[in-house]
Amino acid sequence: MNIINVCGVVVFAKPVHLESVQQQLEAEEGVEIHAATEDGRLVVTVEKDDQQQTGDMLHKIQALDHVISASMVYQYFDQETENEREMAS
Amino acid sequence: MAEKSQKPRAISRRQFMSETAKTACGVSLFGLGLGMYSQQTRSLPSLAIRPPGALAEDDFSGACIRCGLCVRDCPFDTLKLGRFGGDVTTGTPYFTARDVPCEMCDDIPCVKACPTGALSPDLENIDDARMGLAALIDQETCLNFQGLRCEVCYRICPLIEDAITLELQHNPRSGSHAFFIPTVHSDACTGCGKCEHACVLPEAAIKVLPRNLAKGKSAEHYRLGWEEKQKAGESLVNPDVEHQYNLPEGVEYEHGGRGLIDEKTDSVPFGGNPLDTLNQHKADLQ
Amino acid sequence: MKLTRRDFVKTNAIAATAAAAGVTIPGINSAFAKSDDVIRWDKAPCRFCGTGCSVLVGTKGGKIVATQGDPDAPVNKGLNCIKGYFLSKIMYGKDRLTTPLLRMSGGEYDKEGEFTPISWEQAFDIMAEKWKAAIAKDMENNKGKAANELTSTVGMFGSGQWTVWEGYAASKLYKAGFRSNHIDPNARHCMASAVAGFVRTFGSDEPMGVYDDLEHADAFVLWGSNMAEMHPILWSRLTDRRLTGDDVKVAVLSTFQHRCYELADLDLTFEPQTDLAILNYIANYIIQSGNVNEDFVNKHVNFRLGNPDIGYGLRPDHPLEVKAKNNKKRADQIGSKEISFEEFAKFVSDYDLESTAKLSKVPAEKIQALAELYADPNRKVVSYWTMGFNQHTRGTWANNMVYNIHLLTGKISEPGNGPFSLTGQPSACGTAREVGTFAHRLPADLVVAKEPHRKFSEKVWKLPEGLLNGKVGYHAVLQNRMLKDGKLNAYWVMCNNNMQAAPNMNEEGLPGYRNPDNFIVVSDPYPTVTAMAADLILPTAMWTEKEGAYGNAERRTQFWREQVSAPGEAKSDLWQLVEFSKRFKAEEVWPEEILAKAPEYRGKTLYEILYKNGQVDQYPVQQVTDADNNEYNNHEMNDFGFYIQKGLFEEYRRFGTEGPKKGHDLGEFDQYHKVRGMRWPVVNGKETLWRYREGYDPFVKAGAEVEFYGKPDGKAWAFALPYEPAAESPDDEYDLWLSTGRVLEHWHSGSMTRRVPELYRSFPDALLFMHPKDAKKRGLKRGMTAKIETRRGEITVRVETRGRNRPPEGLVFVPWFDAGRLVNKLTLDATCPISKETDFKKCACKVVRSA
Repeated sequence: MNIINVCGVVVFAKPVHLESVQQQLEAEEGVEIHAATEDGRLVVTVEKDDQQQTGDMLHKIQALDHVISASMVYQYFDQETENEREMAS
Repeated sequence: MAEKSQKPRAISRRQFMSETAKTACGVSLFGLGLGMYSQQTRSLPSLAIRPPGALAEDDFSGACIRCGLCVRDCPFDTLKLGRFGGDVTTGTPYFTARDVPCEMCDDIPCVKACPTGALSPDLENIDDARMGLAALIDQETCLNFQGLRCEVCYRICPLIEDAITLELQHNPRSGSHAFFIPTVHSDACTGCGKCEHACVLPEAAIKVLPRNLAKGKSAEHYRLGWEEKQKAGESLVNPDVEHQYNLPEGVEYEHGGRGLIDEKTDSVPFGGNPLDTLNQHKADLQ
Repeated sequence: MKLTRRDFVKTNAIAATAAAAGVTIPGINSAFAKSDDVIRWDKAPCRFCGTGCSVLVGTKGGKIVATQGDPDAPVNKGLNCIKGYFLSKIMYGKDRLTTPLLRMSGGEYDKEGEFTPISWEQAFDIMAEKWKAAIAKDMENNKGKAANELTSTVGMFGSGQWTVWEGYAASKLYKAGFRSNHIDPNARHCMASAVAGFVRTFGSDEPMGVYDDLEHADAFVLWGSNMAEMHPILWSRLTDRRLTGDDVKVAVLSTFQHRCYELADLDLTFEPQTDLAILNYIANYIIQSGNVNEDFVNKHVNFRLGNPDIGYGLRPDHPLEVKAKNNKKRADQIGSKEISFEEFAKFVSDYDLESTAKLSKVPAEKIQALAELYADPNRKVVSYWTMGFNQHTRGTWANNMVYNIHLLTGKISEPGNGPFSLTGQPSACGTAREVGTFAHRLPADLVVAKEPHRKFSEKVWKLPEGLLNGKVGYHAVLQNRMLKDGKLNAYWVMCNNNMQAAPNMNEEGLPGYRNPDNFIVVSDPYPTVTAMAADLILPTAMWTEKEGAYGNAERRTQFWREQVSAPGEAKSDLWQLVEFSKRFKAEEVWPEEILAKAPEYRGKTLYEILYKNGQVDQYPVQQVTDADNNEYNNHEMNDFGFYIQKGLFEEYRRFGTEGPKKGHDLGEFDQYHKVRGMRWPVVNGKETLWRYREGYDPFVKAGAEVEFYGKPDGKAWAFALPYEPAAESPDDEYDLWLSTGRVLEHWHSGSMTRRVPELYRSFPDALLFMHPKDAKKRGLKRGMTAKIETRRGEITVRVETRGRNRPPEGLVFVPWFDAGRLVNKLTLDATCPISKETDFKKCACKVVRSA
């Protein structure tokens, strides 16, 4: 059994400090940036083993320097079984 | 999981036979049952149904000697014996319709096997059995109440058209289809449970219940007039003499039937005589 | 590409987040996002019967998780029967086939070997080897022969459950590619008599009416149709009309009492085969009672005397065939001569009330009441029929004879009036009949035997003149006989379960498949009885695992998009057919004299000639989307590199719009994806409701009122035809009639529905329905196991003397859905000699206690 716990988070950063916010985010384990716009919008996923850790990470992101807001827009939690792991695309 | 723990624990016929063989004598089992559980016999879980011909529950408990012969002779492994510590009195026969329903054997082998009459030998025709009563409990999930064509309970019923009929109703939502509402008739339902067993829903919408739980009772102080009239074959009070009405021309009134019949509503603005039409138009042209 | 579930979820997370942030990320497929956090709904016709209900298919995470009746579909308005209710489960049986399986021993193909997983490449290798060997032999045998004398040893048994383009691709591969007309659909078992009847009387296949007749008729007559179980949603409409209409009557005719009797105002349980006499009596009554619509008859009807004594479609050495007079030549079987109305009237006058009642064992007053329903000039009548009429050794006649009644009274081709054959399969009309996947047909009502029709087809298909084979191929029953006799050697069974479905399995079907001379390929999603008898099994994508189109009983063509991927290596029938065509070079299948006429095809593969032919491949790969911009896969388009379904359909459509038989026009491909079906002929985007009636049908000449334009003079043919007995009737030893049929809970052979646990539980095994007195006479009681025997085999089945079907004394009924109780071991392979459809409703059997 394998846990899948993925969150999608939209992060708004002050545009002038975008690079700094990106660096801080990339330093966090389980956090990935998938897109960033010049006006400071970031598409971020957070993957953690349990809900508690995910919540903590969200709070942490919100408290990062130069972050205006971080809002979770997608959450998926499931226990993956063996035979479901592979599926054809 | 919660659902499972509610079910009475059961032993199959085969288990029962082998377990009795293991003890030196079958008597020890029912001896145990009688001794320890005589207090617990009064109520039966609502989904545990007694075999055909079973006496009323109190009488049955008294008469059944927990010999297991009815279970042994059931050809379809429908009947089970209550187990030590279960909800059904240890050693007494019952079945759970959702698992294995009663197949309503013509020769009723379980009744023949009963040495004490706890399953009454008076039951000669299986159609007269009243093991329980099917009740369509949940109209909100029953597919037929939504207009779908399921009726699995109806078509599987051994007494189709007697114990379960389909009452036809217009489906006002679709406008062009009918509802086929399964309707159980207590005067014919044996409680065999084939309907509950076959119901395609994850939890059956139709269930067999002990008759005292399934059946309401009409009060004595009010009668259904149309039924009383049908029973009597005529009106209980003399019908009216013929009525007469003040009516405009071309309009009829039917007493006790359609009421006002205004033929004009579906007619055309022309009479039967072409000359009338021509004269009418003449006026228009002037 | 394999995607893990984690990847999949993450992709969705990114897509959803990006959407919320208003950011576009290249490479992130929005279809994924929409398909996982919410259920994506799209329309599709139901997989089962010919009613053609529409459902909405709910997909989530690459799986169909739910369906719902489509509330916007005019046929079913959101409703489904219990089979349709379980559509979301039919693709997920535990034993789906996911890889090709070949019988092998020691690493080699062996007819007596064990099924062993192989690759598609290996599967096509062995198939191509067997097909090429057979075709080389055929080319040798056909040297110097005319087009109408060509023989072949390769064949195919197809389906009324094929999608339109699958049937079209198969027909093209066989008829053009392999020059073999030995391709026939399982619709032969189902609708062939209706086809022959329509063509013989009207010169054009398929009903003139539509389901809207249900809301306009005042009377319904069911001839051999258990509509309550087999067309449940239409029965719901008919019931509603009976409930809400003023003085609406329902008459039901059958050889045993079934669920339709509960609604019937008039029920007639007749002795098997005597429906022919009842039909003639009704015609006689209409004439005698002065209720002939003379104006209609004079303008629109010709009268014919059909040849009698046409045999029973058995093997030629059967005593019945030796004895029959008009069965040796096809022309004699279908032959007829012109007669006057008076001669017709005299012919049917033999069928008076007294003799008809005696023969049919139906009380005289009931037969007369039925005749009055038809004769009453103020009553609109629709006749419905299914297998009771079609599966009949005089099935074509029975169809002709019910048309007689509607023609004599003029009750036809208008709202609420008409004869209507209810189709059994979801695309028996759309694919088998309209595409013409029969051994004698080409698309849009064309036939192989007519040279102009072949020429037209060659033109559309860009083939050298004289290529198409003009000799009618082996029909379904004959295919099994020819397999047994070793005259059909390379054989592909696709989208059906014919070992279970075809008659006389013991004497014909099984020996044919297991004949060492033959190589049998079976394509199916599940390991059916037929697959068990095969040498090679191909795993097949089903229903919404591919893009498809079905045509229902009221001429409604309905499309659907691919919703999910098939499991493992399973591939659609279309992919299998087209991929197989790549294995053949023109030189390997066509003789030199044909190639000389088309030198540009030298060295080309059948794939290049038939599919990548500049027409079918003219629509490039595109993203399939719906109105909400949801995106859908199309495996065949991706694999072949063009929108093959669209290309095939647009080429096929030309047969209807340009072909010699008018009134078969279909709409444009893209339009069908936007609607819940359209009823053909579709002309300038407009559908046709009632055919042959001026105002409703654009092909009727102005002022004609009614024109049966399938016939040269626009007049339909009323046939004078007699009652003739069944092929096998009960005698002293085999003393009961055996009738077979279906039940509501299961679809045909049960290969899909018996894999849905709830449906299996609701009706697990076939039962022997019999009269309690018949049971008692044989020492049987309800619930006991009995043995049914015929001259061809025996099976054991539990006795049911109660329940849904109540046969009269002398007849028993067994449904055929149960793979554990193969009732077609018992049935006789007698057919209607004209339509070649088997009579599954009548043979003689005995029932004894099982030891």
